[in-house]
Amino acid sequence: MVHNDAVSHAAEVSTLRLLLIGVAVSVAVSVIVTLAVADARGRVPVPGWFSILLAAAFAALVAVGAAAPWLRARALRRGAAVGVILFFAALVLFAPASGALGGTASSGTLPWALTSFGGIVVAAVVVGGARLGWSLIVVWIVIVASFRAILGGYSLIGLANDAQALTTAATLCVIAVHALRASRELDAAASLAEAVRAEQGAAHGRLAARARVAAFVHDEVLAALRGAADAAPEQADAVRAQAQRATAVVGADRGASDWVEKLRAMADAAGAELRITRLPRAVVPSALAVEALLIAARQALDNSVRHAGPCDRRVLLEIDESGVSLVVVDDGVGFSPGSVPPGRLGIAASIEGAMRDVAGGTARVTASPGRGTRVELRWDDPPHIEADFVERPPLPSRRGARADVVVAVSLFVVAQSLVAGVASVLGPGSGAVPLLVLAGILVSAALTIPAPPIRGPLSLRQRAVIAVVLVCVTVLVGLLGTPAPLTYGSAWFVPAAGFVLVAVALNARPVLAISGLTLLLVMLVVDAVVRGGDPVQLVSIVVRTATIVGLGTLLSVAIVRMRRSTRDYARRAVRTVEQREWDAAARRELEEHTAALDELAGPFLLRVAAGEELDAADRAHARAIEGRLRDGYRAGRLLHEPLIEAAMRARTRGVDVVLLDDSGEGGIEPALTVEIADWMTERLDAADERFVGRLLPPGRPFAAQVVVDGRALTFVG
Amino acid sequence: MADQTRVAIVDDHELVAMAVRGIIDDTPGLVFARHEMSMAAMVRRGRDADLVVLDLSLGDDTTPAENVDAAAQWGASVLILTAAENPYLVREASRTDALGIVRKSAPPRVIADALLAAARDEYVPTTEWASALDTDPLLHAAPLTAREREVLGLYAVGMGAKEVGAALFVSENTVNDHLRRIRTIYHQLGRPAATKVELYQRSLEDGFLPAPRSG
Repeated sequence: MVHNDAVSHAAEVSTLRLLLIGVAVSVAVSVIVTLAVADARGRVPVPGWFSILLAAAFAALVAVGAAAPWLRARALRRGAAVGVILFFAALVLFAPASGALGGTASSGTLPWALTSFGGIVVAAVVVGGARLGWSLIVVWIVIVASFRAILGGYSLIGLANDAQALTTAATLCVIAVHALRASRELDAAASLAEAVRAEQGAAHGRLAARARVAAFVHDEVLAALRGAADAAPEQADAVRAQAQRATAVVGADRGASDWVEKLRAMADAAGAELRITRLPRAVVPSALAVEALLIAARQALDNSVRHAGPCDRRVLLEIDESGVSLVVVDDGVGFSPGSVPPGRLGIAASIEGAMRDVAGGTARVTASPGRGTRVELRWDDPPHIEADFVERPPLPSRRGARADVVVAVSLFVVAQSLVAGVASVLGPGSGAVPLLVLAGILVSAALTIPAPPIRGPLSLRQRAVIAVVLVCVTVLVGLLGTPAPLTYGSAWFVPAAGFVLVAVALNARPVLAISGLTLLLVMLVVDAVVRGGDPVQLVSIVVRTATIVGLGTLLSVAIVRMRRSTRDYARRAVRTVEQREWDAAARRELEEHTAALDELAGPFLLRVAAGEELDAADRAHARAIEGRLRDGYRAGRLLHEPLIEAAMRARTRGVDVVLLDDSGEGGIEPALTVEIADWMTERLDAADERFVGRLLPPGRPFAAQVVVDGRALTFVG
Repeated sequence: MADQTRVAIVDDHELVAMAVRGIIDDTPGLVFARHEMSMAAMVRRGRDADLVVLDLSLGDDTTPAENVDAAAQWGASVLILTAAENPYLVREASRTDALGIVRKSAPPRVIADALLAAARDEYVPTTEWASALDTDPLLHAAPLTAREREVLGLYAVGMGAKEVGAALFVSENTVNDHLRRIRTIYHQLGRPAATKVELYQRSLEDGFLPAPRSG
C-alpha cells in the first residue's frame, strides 16, 4: 500500500483551519453580544479574575482563528487546546468564584458566555477528536445542571437556553468530526491516486518505449523477409546483410525481455535445477521487480555455491496471477543464525534489501546447521493490492459516525420535547401551541433523514424543500400563537428550527438552508417591529440561530466538496488501474509477439544470414511468413488455424492476401468469428491474385466482407 | 523532364530502397533520383526530385508529419510506404499532405501504379488507408454523407475505384470525388502528433500497438 509518510495532509490542515476560523467567528459574535446587549440583571456577580480568565479563553480561540491561515496543524491544535482548557477552567471555577458552593450566592443565572459552548466543542474536536468533544459535552451538562440546581433551579429561559446550547454543541461536534474524517479520507485518496498515477506514468512510458523497440524489430524482420522473397539475384548481399541485422535485433530483444532465460542461465552456472510453474493468467513482472529478483537470486546462488559445500541445489520459480515466487534452496551445510560467519549475514541482509527496494518485494532467508539454506523471494504485483483498495474506495464511511449522529438526533428530540413540554405548562399563552409547534418541527426534521426507513414517493430534494417550508410555517404559527414580548424561553422553537435547517444543509442543500434562515430572521424582525420586544432576548435568539445555521452550513459545504473530491480521486485511481491492466495486457502481447517473430522467422532468417542460396520455394516461404507477421498486426480475431493455413498456402502460390480485423473491442461473438473464418478460408482457397478479408466495424449491416480478385462478397451468416 | 518524374527514396533499409529503385527503373515515366536514410539528409541538398517515397516508420526520432512537411517545403510531393499495417500510424500519416500510403509488400505492379498516380499528383487511396480511416473513432462524428461512408467501407475491404463505382452504380470519377472529400475532412479532424513519443503514447491510448491483437 501507500507509505504513510507519503500521505499529504493538505485537506486535513485546511479543514482544521476552517473549523477554527468558524470557532473564532462564533466566539467573537458571542462576546460582542454579551458585552453589548446581554442582560446583567439577575446574574450572579463574579470577581474580576474570573472575567479575565473567561476573556482569555475566548481571546485565545479568536487569536488562533485569526492566525489559522498561516498556522500548521500542530500550532492549530495547541492554540485550540489553550482556549478549551481556559474555558473549562472558568466553567469549573465559576462555583468558588461566585460563592455558590459556600452558600453565599444569591439565586441568579449563569453568565451566557458559559452556556454558549458550541464553538468550544468544535475546538475540542480539533484538539482531541470526537472522544474529547463528547467528553466535554458530558462534563458541561453535569456542571451546568449542578450550578442551575444550586442557583435555584430552572426557569423556562434557562432550560430553553441550556437545551439549545446542548443541541448546538452536539450538532457541531458531529459535523466537525464528519468534516475531519472527510478531510482525512480525501488526503488518503489524493495520495493514493497520485502514487498510482506516478507509477503508472513511468510504466506507461516504459511500455511506449518497448512498443517502439518492437516496431523497430518488426520492421527489420519484415524488410529481410521481403528482400528474401523478391530481391533480384544481384541484391543477394544486401538481403544477407538485412537478415543479419534482423537476427541480431531479434536476439537482442529476446535477451532484454526474457528474464526467465537469464535465470535459467544463472541456475545452470550454479549447477542448480530450475523448476518453473506458470499458472494461468500469470503476471508479467515489472522491469524493476525482475531486476530485484535476478539480483537476489544471483546472490543466493553465489552464496550457496561458496558456502554450502557439495549438495543438491534447486531454483523453484512460480508465476501466478498475483506475483512471482522464487525459492533458492540447497541441502548443504547451512548455518546457524546465531553463529553466522562474517559476511554471510551481510549476504542475507543484502538479499532482503534488494527485494525491499522494489514495491511488493519481500525476502526470507532461513537456515540451520546441517539442514541447508532456503531463500524465499516474493514479488506481489502492486496493482492487485491497489485493486483491492479500488474495490472499496474511501467513499463516505458513515458507519463510525452513525453512533454520533444517533446521539445528536436523540438529544435534539429529547431537548426540544422537554422544552416544548415545559413551555406548554409554564409558558405564556395557550398550552397547545408549543405542542403543535413541536410536532411541526419534528415532522420537518424527519423529512431531512437521507434514507428514511419508510420510503415515500418524494425525492430527497423535494423532501428538503417541504422541510424548509414546513419549518418556516411552523415558526410563523409559533410566533402568532405566542404572546409578546418574546423571550428566549417562549421563542425556543426558533433555534430548534435552525437545527432542521442545518440538517437540510447537510443534505447538500446549503442555499435552501440559508434561504430558510433568512426567512426565519425576517419573521422575527417583523414580529419585533410589529409587536415590540426585549432587544436582549431577541438578539440572543437571532445570534444563536444564525450561528448554528451559518456554521453548520459552512461546514456541510466543506464536507460535501471534500466527499466529491474524494470520489473523483477514487474514480481517477480506478481509471489508472484499468489503464495499468490494459498496459499489462499490452506488455504480454508484446512478449508473445516477440516469441512469434522468433518462432516464425528466426530459423529462416538464420539461413539467409548465413548466406544460404534461396530457391523458389524459399522465396515463396519468405513471402508467406512476411504476410503471417503482418497478420499478427491486423488480422486480430481472424487468426484462426484453418484461415492462417489457407493464407500461407495462398501467399506461397503468389496471392496478395490482406486480413483485417476492424471489429473493435468485443464486437463479434467468438463462435461467429470461427464461422466467418471458415467462410473466408473457402473463398481464400479459390483466390488467384488478390484476397482481402475484413471483419467490419460494429454497427454495419454485415459482420464481414471479402474481395476475391476484385469481386466483393458479403458474409450473411 | 516534363514527362519524366524524378523519384527519391527515404528509407533506413538499403534493401527496401533497392526494391523500390528496381520498380522505378522498370516503370516508364519515372526516373530514380536519390536514396537517403533520413528526410533531413534528403533535403540537405538542392531539390533533385519531384516525388519522395517515404518510409512510414523511420528508425530516427522523426514523425511522418515532420517528414512530409520537410518534403513539402523542399518542393516535392510524398508517397508513403508502410511495412505493416498499424492503423494508428496509417491514420497519423493520413492527416499529412502525403498523396497516399502503400504497403511495401504489395505486388510490384501495384506499387508502380501508385508511383505513377503520385507522379501525376493524384491521390492514391489504398485498402490500408481506407481501413484505418473507416475504423477511426474520430471519423464517426465527422460530417460525412452516407454515400461517402459507403465508398470508404468498400475501399476498406479492398475494392478499387472502378469496382466501387460498379457496385454503387456511379462513375469512377464520382468515387474519386468522394474519396477526395473524405480525405479533406479527415485532414481537418486532427493535428498530427508533435513528437514520436507522443505518437506512440497516443497509439497506446487508442489501443493500437505494433503487436498482434489477439481476440
